[in-house]
Amino acid sequence: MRIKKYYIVLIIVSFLSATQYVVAQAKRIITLSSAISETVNALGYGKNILATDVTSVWPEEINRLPKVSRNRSFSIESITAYRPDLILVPEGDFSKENLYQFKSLGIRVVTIRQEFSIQGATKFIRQIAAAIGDKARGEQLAQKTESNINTTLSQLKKGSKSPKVLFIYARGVGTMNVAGKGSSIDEIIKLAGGKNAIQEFSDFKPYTTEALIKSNPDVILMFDFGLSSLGGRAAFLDLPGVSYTNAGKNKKIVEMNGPLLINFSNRLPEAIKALNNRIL
Amino acid sequence: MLRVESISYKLNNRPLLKDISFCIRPGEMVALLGANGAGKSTLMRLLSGERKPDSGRIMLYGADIKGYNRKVLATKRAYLQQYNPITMAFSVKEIVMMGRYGFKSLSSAKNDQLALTETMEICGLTDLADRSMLSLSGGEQQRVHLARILAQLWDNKDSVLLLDEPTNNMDIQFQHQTLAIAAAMAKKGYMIIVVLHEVNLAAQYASRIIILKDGRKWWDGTPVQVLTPQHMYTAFGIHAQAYTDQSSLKTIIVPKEIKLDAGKFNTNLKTTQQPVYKLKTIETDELINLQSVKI
Amino acid sequence: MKRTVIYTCLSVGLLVSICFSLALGAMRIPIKEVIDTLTHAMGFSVFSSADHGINEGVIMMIRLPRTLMGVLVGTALGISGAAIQGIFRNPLAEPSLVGISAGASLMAVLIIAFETLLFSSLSQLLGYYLLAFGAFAGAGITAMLVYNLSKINGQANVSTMLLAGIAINAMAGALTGLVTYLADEQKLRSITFWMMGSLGGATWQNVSCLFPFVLIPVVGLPFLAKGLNLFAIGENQAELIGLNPNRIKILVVVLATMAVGASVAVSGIIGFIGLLIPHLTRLLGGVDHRFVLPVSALMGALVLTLADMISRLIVQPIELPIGVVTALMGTPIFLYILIKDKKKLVN
Repeated sequence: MRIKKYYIVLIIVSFLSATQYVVAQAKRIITLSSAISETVNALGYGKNILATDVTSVWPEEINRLPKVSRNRSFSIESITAYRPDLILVPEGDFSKENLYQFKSLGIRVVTIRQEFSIQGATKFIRQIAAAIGDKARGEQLAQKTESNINTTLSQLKKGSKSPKVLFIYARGVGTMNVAGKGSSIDEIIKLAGGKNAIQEFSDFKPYTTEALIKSNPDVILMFDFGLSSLGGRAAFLDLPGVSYTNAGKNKKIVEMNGPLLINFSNRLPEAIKALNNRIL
Repeated sequence: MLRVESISYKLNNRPLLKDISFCIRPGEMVALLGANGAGKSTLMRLLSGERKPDSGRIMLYGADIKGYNRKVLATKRAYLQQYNPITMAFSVKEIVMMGRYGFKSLSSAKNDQLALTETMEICGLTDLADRSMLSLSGGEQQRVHLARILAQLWDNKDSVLLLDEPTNNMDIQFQHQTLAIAAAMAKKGYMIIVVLHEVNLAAQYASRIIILKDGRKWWDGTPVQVLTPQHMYTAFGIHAQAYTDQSSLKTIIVPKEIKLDAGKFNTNLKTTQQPVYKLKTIETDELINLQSVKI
Repeated sequence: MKRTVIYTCLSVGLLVSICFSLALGAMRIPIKEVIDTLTHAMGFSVFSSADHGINEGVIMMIRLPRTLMGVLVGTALGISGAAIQGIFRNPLAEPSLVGISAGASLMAVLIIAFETLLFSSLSQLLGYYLLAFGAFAGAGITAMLVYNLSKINGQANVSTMLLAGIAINAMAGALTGLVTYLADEQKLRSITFWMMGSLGGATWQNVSCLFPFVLIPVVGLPFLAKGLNLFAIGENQAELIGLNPNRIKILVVVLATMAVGASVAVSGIIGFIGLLIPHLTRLLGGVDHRFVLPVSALMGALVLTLADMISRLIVQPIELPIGVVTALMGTPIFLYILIKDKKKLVN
């Protein structure tokens, strides 16, 4: 009975506070992915961010903020302790229970699904801006990003043929995955004028030496921390099978900043340009 | 009154017991003898109701044992099994008390306590009461299980006590103590059936002996009738002599020593060339010589 | 006498740890406010009845359900661990060894993986019940399967049962792996999140769903304590003393899998509690199940509450999966017991 009373009180309280959010702009924000943090920053709300997840490392000043989430492991209370009025989180990172918990605490959580395409990037920016309560600034940034992308695309280097790029996500030799079709990496490779070496499957699947040789990529792409987790360029070239591929023969191993590559938001033009430069 | 009417039992199509009949009256203590695999333990299992005979029936106080309610049967028969392995560190007292579990609702706590104290006393466990079972030797553990079985039937002398090799692992004192307890309880009216390997223990304590061979009952009678050199040879394949103790008039069986030459049954010893060990035996006169030299 | 002391100490310890669990956390909430909020919820107030806003919400909506879930899951794992060890007559037996946890996890993973496909229209609460029942069914089915596999001439052979348990475990593990491999990224996240074991998802809804699944075994299992004691000497001893061994076995398996299945469904696989707690209980006050079952329940609740506190507080602001904490706490003590009692355990 008493619990029920509590429910009623809390529902009323959260309802009242929810109506407030619609009116007021978010002042205290927690951003739980690198793309979200970067976008909120680009919208000019960097000073409103209280805490981020562990992958948010750009721009530099964001590293001064506390990190409250790591690999989808986080504590409700730690996040609540910052008394945020808005939590921006990629769809699926919070379980149903977590969403329910934040709801019962009256904290607004907006889950954002990122689509990996040019339209997806601008949509992402607009969604975040809408969640913060500043659609105008969002529109501005979205349009600027879109025109930047168009400029970048028109200035891309063009090779005789588009190189086959194999992306390996590595966290040590034991855990290596390659990017298939439909993944964020697949899309950025296409945008940068390359061709994903993997056409057989979608999403990320475990790496095998035979699949590497069969796909025979011209370029092998990795995140910078991925390459270092394998022990650097020289160690990677020594891995079984690598020397049989064109990429291995020409030592065409490209390492790039991870957050930039999968940003798919305001930094998409930058990412396309950088990758295009490196693979062609 | 326990009446076994022509029971047979097969396991995986192998006949273990064939057409066994006998009858036990209150106050009798029957020893079940026989070679390994003669069917003694199987018969005990059937008598306890744990297994059902394929044909024939076992009547306990006029009713088929099959028809007994579990709880009622538990007040009329107790069964000490041959192997009672234990993996949890129960104390001696706790194990003995388990004999009373079925009666908690029937008898008073005072009776339970009395049964506990008395059975532990008679089985020489009083000093071990709080020891863990896992810390006891095999013979001591066996005594604990005996006490538990006794506690189960402590209040009811119209009952049958089935003891399958109760003296296993026990030292000679407790072998006798155990059978003496059984014999004394038989005198009070209990029916006792005990499987034994030691023929002389059976001769000393049992009022009646049944000998099984290959799943059949071969002999059934008093120790004097049953324990003869011929029967010993037929049932166990040993040569033995039977005497009668002059003071107690009990039969004593003295088996003849079996003599074997290892070279005859261990062919390895014969084929491989072994160095011949010659022990230097000292003859008596030599010893005298040695001593006299010293002197 | 000694046992009364143990009961009292554990109860007091549990109460104290519940209080600490409610008072401590990443949010710094003054103890006065904690007491105020709790007493207010109970219908009276010690201090002022001022509104404490979000602090009150954190205590009532986050900490209280989480603490209760810790108590319930700990109770369930402790008591069912003790019961399973009793049935198996082996102090090393554990729900996960018999395939109960694997079966529960497989069923829960299947339900999570196909939830949207088949039961998209289910409400949240019904979803929890479905998951709890599914995990219970999975646990029960595997336990029965292992049990029947190991039956020889109508008697369950313990070593065969353990070997069958290992086989079923491997099978269920492989199937779980297959399902996780086939599931899409989104589903995979919730599955892995759930496999790590956490009390972080506690809400009033899933706590109230868990409650009956724990209450029934906690009330029911102690009635089977005598039967479990007799099982320690031999399965047929129960029958010889006038109890029905099959009924005892089936009831114990059903009740234990009910508790384990439901807790796996709400909090994932939290290891070592079911193995460790009965061990500690026996060290404290002997092996009589009339003592071991209720005390394992109490101690399980106490230890899991403490473990959860550690998992929340030790690496702030992030929290450790509770399975990591219980394994870190449990393995050294378990190894110690193993070395100390090596000879005893082998026979």
